[in-house]
Amino acid sequence: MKQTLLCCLFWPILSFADIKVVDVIPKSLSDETNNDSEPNLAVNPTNPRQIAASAFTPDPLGGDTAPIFVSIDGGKSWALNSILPSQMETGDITLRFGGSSNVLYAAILRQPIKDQHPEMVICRTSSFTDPKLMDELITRKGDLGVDQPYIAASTIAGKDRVFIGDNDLNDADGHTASIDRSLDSAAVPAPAGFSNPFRIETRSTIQQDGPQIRAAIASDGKTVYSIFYRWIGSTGSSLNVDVVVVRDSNGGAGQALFSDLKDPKDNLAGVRVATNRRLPWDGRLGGERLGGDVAIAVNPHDMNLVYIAWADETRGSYTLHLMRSKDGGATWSADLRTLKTAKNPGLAINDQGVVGFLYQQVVDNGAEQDWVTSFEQSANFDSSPKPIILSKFPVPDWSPHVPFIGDYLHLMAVGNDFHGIFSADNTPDKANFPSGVVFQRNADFGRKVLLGTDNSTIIDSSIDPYYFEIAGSPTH
Amino acid sequence: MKRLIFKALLLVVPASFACGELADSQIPAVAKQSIFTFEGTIKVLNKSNVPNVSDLSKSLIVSVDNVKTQTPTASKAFGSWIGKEITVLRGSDSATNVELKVGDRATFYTKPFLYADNVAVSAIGITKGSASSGCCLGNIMAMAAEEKANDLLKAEVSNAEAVVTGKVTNVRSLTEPKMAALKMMNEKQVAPRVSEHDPKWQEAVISVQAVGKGEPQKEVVVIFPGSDDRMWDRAPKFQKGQVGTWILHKNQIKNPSVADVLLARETDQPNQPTAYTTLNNEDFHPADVDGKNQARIQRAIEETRPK
Repeated sequence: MKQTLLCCLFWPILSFADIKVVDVIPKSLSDETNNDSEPNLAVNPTNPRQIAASAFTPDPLGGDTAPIFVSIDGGKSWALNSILPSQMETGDITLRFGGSSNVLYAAILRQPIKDQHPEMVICRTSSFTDPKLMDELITRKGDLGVDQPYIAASTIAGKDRVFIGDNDLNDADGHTASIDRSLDSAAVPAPAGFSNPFRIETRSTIQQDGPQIRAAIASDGKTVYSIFYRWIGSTGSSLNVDVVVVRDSNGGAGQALFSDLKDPKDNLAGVRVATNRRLPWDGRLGGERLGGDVAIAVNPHDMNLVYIAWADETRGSYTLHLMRSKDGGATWSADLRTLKTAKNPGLAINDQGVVGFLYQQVVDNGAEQDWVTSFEQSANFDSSPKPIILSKFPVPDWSPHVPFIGDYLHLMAVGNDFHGIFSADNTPDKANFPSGVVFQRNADFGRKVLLGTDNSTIIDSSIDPYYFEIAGSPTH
Repeated sequence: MKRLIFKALLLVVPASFACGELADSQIPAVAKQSIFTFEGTIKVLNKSNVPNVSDLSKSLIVSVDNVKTQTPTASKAFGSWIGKEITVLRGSDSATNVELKVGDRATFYTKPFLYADNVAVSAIGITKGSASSGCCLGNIMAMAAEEKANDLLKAEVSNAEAVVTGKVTNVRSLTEPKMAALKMMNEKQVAPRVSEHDPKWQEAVISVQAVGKGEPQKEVVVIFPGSDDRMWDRAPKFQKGQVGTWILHKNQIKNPSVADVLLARETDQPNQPTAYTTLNNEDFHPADVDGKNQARIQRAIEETRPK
């Protein structure tokens, strides 16, 4: 209570000067109309001026490599660097820097898809702005494919530890929720400590788990959490799922990984935070497909203080839930936030213990429905903070290609600053960006139109990725 | 015949490009590898108009005079290139270390590097002089581009079970027996798992007008991904009424159990058509007015036919 009061008293209203929102599409690509959705972000903790970002963005020259966005000035300006081993663009992609190694890691699904099963590639570079192709560390598809690789990385005792949550569909027992991990990924030659995936599912499933598997590494280097959906049944186009959190207390070393958090009801690894929840599969919300959303973050100074966000269908609405555990995942709070018609959660906790929560929500404003991207921060979410609106734009009245804005986005903290990325419509209308925005591509905000590289041809609006920084959260 | 002309042209090139460090015999191979080939005029040496270039001694700013070859993606993503100044990064090999000075014209064979306020490319070959002033290099590059496309096409044709020309008469969901078989496989846990990248198979029924490769048949079924997920962007999708040539495969679905079901002959249908897939971009070519697509495919069939 005391902490909440202090927060209210000393929490100044953030001004535009504290918030930076940048459309990362470079000026030379002002003619593009691509759907640059499902973004991800990596800020170098050692040098936060170095940032890498990704989206479903093809190489503009149509080359045989795929690009990432790079910035070396703290996200003020961006370029696109084609260094990924995938033809022209990737499928799912996430990025992360090591904690202090300056090494950038990428986990991608390679294009083109060889049969109907995606192939995962984990790669790294120590010079992410150079034209050199990233080194492939491990490639895996199996007979049934690997889906949605999502990276967490840290440097512990001088060695990079990388944990990649992925849905490796090749497990005969249906324990598909998996972690690929390396305990020394920066220095060692390929496969750089990666080998077979570790199955974090311990219970029966309907042949598989959900594709969303996220990991969070505590700063003690010993504690690693992961969250995933266990698929337990299906009814028509809906699934019945458990939301499961697992923990490893030995930094990912040893054989019995992620078995340190037992559910008291069956004494199996993984606490079931929510059970038998209904989850739509391949439904639509504001033109975007649905099928599950999870996020997890651990306090940098208290390895037992963990926040999670997850989605289900509650009373007919796709709903995001924010919850907290103070005892290392053993027990969980009731909903701290419950957000109807919301998806794409991002969670991060800064050096002061402030929790950042990013999400995208379809909001009915009376006249129309808008996609609204919001950021909230709080010391504990015991009360609902006022959201900072980063973007809003009308839900399309046509059926867009999916992913429209993406199956995920990303939020992270470096020191006291929050850094995030989301995808949204790029119509240059100041009303769409209440916290301000900077475009690199040519745009006329007066006429609310995009302009081509010739600075005169009007270009159709599309979906772009936006980097944002919420700088220096106030002390409390 | 074109191949012969292509080779004959190589004999003519040396006189035109004696100054270039890129060996004349290397030009066709480099031209085939090049993603973006252009003629340009050197504006500035040892400088770059993009960030992140660590070694400026290998960098030059070039004004684009004329684009020789680029991908359809590039022509869509960029407006006119003429007069645009782009950065060219040279490698450490002799193919790109041509002696150049401001005002010189050269032909640049490049791959993508960086896109910022301006564009930067990595050179894989440079020939000093203007290709348009040389008698044959323009033709060599055009043919190299065509060779590159033909190589892809020939690979697909060679790998194909059949090649047919025809018209889509119907697009539908998988037939009931196939749906039932897949469902049963799912229950037995041998079917593919569920992901957001599911192909969502559909069927296009093709009324065959001509057979270029394979056994004669009046109707075939093409199993194609109806999904609009990004992983399936490059797989051709079909609509009723489409006319063209299909390069038909039986070996693109690697899971043998699934392939057995999806590619089974549809004996419950009136014409009992055989089923195939066309998952690569090169596997469908719409009919064109001048018949160039069909001619290319016919040539590929002939060139890949077992001797």
